[in-house]
Amino acid sequence: MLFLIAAGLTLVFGVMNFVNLAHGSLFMVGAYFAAWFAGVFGSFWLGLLCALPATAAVGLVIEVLVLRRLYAKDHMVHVLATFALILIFNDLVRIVWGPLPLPLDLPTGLAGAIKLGPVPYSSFRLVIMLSGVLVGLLLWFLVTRTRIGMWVRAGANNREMAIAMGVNVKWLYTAVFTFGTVLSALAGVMLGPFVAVEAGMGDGVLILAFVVVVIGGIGSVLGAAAGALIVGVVDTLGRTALPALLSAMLPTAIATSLGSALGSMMIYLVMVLVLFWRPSGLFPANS
Amino acid sequence: MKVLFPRPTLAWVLLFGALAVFPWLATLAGQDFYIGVVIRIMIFAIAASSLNLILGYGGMVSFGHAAFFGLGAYAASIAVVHGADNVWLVWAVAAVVAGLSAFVVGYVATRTRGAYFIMITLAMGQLFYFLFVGLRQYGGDDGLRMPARPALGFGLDIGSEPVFYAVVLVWTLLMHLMLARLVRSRFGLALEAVRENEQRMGAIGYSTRQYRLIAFAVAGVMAGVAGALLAMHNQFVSPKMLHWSQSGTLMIMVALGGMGRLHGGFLGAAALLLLEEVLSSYFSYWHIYVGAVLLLVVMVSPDGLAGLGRIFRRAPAAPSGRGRAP
Amino acid sequence: MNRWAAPKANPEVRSAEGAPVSTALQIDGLVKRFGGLEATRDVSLQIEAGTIHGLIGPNGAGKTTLISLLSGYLVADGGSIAFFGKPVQQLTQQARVRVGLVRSFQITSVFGSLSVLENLQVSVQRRHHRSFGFFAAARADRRARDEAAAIAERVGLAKQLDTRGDAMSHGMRRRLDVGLSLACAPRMLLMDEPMAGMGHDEADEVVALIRSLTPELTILLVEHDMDAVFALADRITVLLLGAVLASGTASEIRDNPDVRAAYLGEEGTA
Repeated sequence: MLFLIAAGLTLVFGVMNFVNLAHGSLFMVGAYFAAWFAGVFGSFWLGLLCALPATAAVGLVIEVLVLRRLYAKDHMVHVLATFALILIFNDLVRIVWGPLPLPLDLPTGLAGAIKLGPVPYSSFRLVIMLSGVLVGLLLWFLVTRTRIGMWVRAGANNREMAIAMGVNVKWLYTAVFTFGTVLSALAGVMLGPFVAVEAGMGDGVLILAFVVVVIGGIGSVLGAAAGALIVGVVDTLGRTALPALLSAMLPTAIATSLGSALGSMMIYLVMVLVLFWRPSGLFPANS
Repeated sequence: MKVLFPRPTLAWVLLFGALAVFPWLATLAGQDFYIGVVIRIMIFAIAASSLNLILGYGGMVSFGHAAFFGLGAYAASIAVVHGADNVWLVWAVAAVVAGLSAFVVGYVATRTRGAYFIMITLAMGQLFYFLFVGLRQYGGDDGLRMPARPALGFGLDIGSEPVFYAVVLVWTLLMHLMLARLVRSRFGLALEAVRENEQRMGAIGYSTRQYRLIAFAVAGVMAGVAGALLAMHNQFVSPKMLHWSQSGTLMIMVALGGMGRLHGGFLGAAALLLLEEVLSSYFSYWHIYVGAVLLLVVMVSPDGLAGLGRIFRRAPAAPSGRGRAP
Repeated sequence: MNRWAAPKANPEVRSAEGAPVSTALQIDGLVKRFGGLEATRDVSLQIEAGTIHGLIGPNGAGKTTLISLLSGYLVADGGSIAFFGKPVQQLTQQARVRVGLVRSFQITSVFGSLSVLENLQVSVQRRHHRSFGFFAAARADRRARDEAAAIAERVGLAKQLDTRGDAMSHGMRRRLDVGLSLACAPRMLLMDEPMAGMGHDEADEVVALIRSLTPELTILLVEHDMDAVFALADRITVLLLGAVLASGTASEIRDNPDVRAAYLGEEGTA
């Protein structure tokens, strides 16, 4: 699921050299739309179906009105502008939908659990994983087998060459950005039932997505997948195995406090280590 | 010769003079509350200026600068909690802790540039954030209270608002002068050249990484002192001070005020904090307006407010912070 | 005052009777690979002090790679580089600048928001000062500023001291770029296509400037502008696909059948 967000982010980053902090906000908007539509129609799936194009439209509007003018400028400007968008969106959703979190219920068909051997596993979580894999395959297919995908890879690899070869850059950028938005929104919808759909829900996720992108290498979908996997594993280990390990070695009070601190820090430590060893990430798109 | 070395203007002498008499005026007018507001502005002015040094002058987009701000605050608070009663000692501790951390972070971060630099400073900032969230014995997520402000000596009671105001004002003046000296020095010239064209600097024989690292460390010390002052002002510190959104706020201040302009940090801090004061009293959802203003400024005037102000008389076109694409 | 140009040791210039010259640059068997691609293949050449040595070849021949290897921006995979007898292939770019081996750039590379004087001052001050100079005001650095002004004069920018680097014409910026390199007090300049993008008059000025730099300086000149190369160069080396095709005087190269076929023939007249 982290992969979904990271994939969109890395494409925007790689192809357009654009640092998009608002990616987390689109995640949030997707979740909000889904919760709203689901409430209106009474169905999770309809909520999903409507939320995606709605969020895509929002993304499109942002891209055309604001972001287009900023591509040529330096990263600093991107950071500031998209940070401004975060501020705007965080308040906007509260203005439109109120300050309280919106409920988004699991679809009735998948609310239960499936038994995988002896372990009951939430069926919805399975669906999330499956969709992640499906999207991954779809992306792989798109990027490596289609003409658009070739343009995207060319753009990520060497922008000047791509422009020189006649790729319609403006249209491509819009397409990539919108696609990234949809992925992010999908992630938001999928995650909606598990976390509170509220203002600011995208911020924490955004940071993690950036960590994933940087570890995996900017511009590379494969990198996003690898990064998401690594981050997921490290995060889980950090929160389960590490405290257990520490309490075996140290007195409980210190172990719990140190454990929780270290657990959240693990991912960032890993990122710093990866960057130290490979300053461009694991599978960078640029040669 | 006018591009980098403006003459100190009358406007700024007047401004500091005005700040000096402000507390008396405020008390006379019965608006004591605003003394606290101005103290906050001055403290953030120092912090924003420290970011301006590396961001505006050095061209390094650091998204983890709030970590040094918070480290200074925590270092000061923890020192007081453990019995330090001398404000000079506390300031020294804050400066050293923040400076050393900045050196370490800078050492790692200056190995990268462009987007990766942004990411790694962000990550390391978050590392410090989670460190303090996890430290339960110092309050963790709830924050840490500073029982009393450490003593100033000289028979002055630093607990009293006017005295504290004067202390902060003196620090602000000192930091401003130091920054002015630094950016107009040979080091400052070289730093700006590194920002403009790092490759060319290497080709004429400069070890550019050293310059960036030193600037980073100095900015860390400045931010640390500012953090200590804020901790003393609120007599409270929480991990939120180190969060990346706080780094973002500092960046907004620098952008609003004018990157790479001497007064950018000060103008920006004043502008943003005053804007927040005004907006929050009228609207419950005021972030959206801050965001809109920021967006407008970014899209219209890349030099921030300082670019517009003519009384501060700077050269026509200002250097803009330049990110290096990987 | 040619303080910026003359190295301490006096390089022997060729005397009328053909007395021995000092070799400024000796390259032997230089190799550079990028993955599977061999960008520089066993390149050997020798440049005598005080001369202008031209380096020509079609696009992709490896000229810029060679310059980068010589300046220290890239590290060679094999071979040796001796600068006035001293091996430098292990030295960093900064160290090479300090011994006097400096490059200028093809895509003009100056400090945009700084004035011409400041541009040159930055380069000069590095040579003058051991310390970082945190509090010494740059404006007060008389020695550096005077020397910077002298260099500006040298490259014909004496009237543009206060102009911003990015506010000048292409030709002026190119001269500033050369000035930046000269401010390092080099003994040898590696010039990467200084004529690129120049109009006719501007090119003439640059040619005159380059010619005026010798015999105090030694110059390796990479160029596409054949008129300039044949006008300036004492000797010329032709690169093709990363390897040396031919080396010799201008007329030798012009008459060389291999060179004509591979390169000059395509360009038309020489």
